[in-house]
Amino acid sequence: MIRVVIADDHSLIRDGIKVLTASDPDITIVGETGSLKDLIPLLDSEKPDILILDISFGNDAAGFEVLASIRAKNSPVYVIMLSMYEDIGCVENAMRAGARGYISKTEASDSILKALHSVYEGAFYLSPFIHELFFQQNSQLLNPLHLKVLTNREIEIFQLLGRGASTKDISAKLEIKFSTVGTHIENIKNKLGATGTGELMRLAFGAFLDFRERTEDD
Amino acid sequence: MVPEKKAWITTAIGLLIFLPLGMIPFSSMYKEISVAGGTAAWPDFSEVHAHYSLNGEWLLFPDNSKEGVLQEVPAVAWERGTGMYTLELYFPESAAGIPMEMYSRNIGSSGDVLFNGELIGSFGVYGESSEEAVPSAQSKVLLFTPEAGWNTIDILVSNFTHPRAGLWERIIVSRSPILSLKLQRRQAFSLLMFGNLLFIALFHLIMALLNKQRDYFAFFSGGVLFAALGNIVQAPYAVYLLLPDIDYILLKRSQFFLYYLAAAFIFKAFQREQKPMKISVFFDLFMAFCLVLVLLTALLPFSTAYSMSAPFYPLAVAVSFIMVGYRFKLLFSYTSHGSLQWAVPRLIGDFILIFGIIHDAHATLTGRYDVITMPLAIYAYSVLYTLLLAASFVKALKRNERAKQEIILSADRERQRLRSDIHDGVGQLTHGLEYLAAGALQKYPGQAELIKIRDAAKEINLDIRRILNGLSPAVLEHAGLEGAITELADEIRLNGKTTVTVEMDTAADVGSSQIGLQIYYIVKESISNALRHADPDIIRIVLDRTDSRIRVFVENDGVPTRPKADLCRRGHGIDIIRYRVNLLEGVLYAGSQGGGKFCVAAEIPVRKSRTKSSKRDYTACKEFL
Repeated sequence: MIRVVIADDHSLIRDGIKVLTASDPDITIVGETGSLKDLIPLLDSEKPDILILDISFGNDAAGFEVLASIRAKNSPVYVIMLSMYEDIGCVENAMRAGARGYISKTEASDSILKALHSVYEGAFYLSPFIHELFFQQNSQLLNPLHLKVLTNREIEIFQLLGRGASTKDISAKLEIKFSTVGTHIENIKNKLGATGTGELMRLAFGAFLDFRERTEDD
Repeated sequence: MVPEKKAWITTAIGLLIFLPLGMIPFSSMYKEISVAGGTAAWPDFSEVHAHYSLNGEWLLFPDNSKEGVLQEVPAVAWERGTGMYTLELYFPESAAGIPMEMYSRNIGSSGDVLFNGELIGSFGVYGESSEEAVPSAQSKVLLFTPEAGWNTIDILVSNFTHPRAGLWERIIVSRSPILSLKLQRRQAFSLLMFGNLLFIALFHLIMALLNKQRDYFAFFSGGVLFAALGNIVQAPYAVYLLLPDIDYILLKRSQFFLYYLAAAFIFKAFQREQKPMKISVFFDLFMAFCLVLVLLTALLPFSTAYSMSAPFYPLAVAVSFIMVGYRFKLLFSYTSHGSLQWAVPRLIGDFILIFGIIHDAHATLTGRYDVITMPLAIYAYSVLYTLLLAASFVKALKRNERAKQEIILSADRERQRLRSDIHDGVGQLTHGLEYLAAGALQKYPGQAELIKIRDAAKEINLDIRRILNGLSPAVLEHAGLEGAITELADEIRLNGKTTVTVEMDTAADVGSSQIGLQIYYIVKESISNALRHADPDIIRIVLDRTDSRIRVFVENDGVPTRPKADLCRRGHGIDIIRYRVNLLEGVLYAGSQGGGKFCVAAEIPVRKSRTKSSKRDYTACKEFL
């Protein structure tokens, strides 16, 4: 059973998502709120698997701050951002801040169930238009041929980066030195022509999605 | 105290100050040239002596008359008839043979000047009767060379014209060429004023043709034109340079009615400028009075017309004080509203005019024409008002510029507000509606009505997405300037054949600040312009930053579809970009480069250093080129 909390300041959106998910017996909406103030207590009390979080509350893009505070608390909840913003910067910000999925509100009626299941299974999820936008942005660098220049170890590190792991996490997981991870990351940057860590993260995240999609297609 | 009361009290105080001030006999200031002055090489001033004698019916103005000292001979006037003025000058041996000048001016009389019995010059034509005499009003410098000992200057004067008294202004004697140079300077200044006033009149006439405030400019133009003509006629220094043979009576008639018209038009201009006002009737009456005087001056015999001019000056003074009173009232009213509207400089102009009127009224009534201030007062008044007009024009331009910028900002704000309203209002509702319909369809599959509702809601939501994307760059908030411009470039790349490259210094990313928003629009509009007018293959966008400036450069390789390659100042696209750059106090270069590529290069000051130099320094912009 996937336990879900919805945080959106528009009750009609919350109602709509509830109706959309009502038909799926694996999904239970365990809570909903239109106020960010009530969100953290709600998460603490209900301990949902997934939080569907709007970016905008009122006139502020306060969803990002909430996301950052949830991640800072090391809360195990997966967050799917639900937004009318359809720009790549917004998606990247959300993913960097620790979101596991990003759904455009225009696509939610078709994507929400798939997104909940994917994320629950540990995958990242972008709704189709957002996904397309992301890969248009990075298409020239995300060609699989480019990745062939990487060694197996580098691909491993690259994938971990794509999952949002830090240098410290990678060092612990692969049981290699912190500085060695740094060297590998520098090599990957050079080989893929990434100009900075930000761009590398973006590529890594995109590549990770790409791998998953190809794996799923296979 | 109410502004009206305060204004009239102030005006009354002004009247008390200006009336006596205007009556100061300026003749006492008229001493700058003398035999003693500028005579470093003069042999021995103490040895020069002079005395004069007057034969005939003379009226002597006694000031400055110091017999025995050769400075200025006092002004004299005489009754109708003839007379002789004799000036005896004693020159020592050492001063003999040095060229000398005698300056003199007559008004309405005629005469011959003889030096030691020889004719050295004439004013008009001397005659024993009104039939023989031809009057004039001229300033002349006559030359003579003294002999050692006593020399005699005889001036034979006839007056059959002037109703009050023929006037022969003071006679000044000095070394050559001091007086002739002085006279030339005065003549040149008179002609300069004449030319300037004609230009001012023409300028206001053009303003009348082009401007909504037509009446004011037309009357002011007419007033200045008549004043210019009146001045040149009145100023005996210059009129004979233009019209050497002009008839004296015609000259005087012209002078009167030109000044009447000038006064009528200038006061009428004031009235039209201030419309509507309760005291309008005074200005209408004064104008009617002036027009009657014009008519009478043209029709009546000169001596009658001349005597009818007496009430003109007092009335002109009265009307001008009404004008000043009203101006004070405005000043006090404006002050209470925090805006002076040039009232103070206008008041200064009014007082200059009043001073001229009072002074010349006094001069006319007392029959002294030594110094006439009206031409200079009118000139100063007209120039001051024209400068104020220029200042108003500059102010209007600035206001216009600010308005344009405010329009841009308002449009941006409005777009932002609209986007926000749709985003947070109707957009959320229609999405919720779509979800509800879609959810209901999952529960009741195949329901035609539900399918229609869902599809309609979906369609609306797609439209909303499109509208929101067009309204405001939300991307700027989330992805910063770099992300927004990159996305802009991607959109162009995806939607057409044009390749867009972005080279951006991360330090130039000022996020979604006002500067960031405007730079985003500058780039966006530059791209739109290029796509619209030049169909380019490549658009290159460069943004970099120095310590205090962000430089924006958008270049394209397209061929302009307009007739001429230089699009620099054409169309609204570049204008709007320019307003945006101005809004940020930056500089803009837009035009074709050497290689034929068209570029828009802007330099935007950031942080504190919005210096004046940045407004004018194009070098940094041109570094791109």
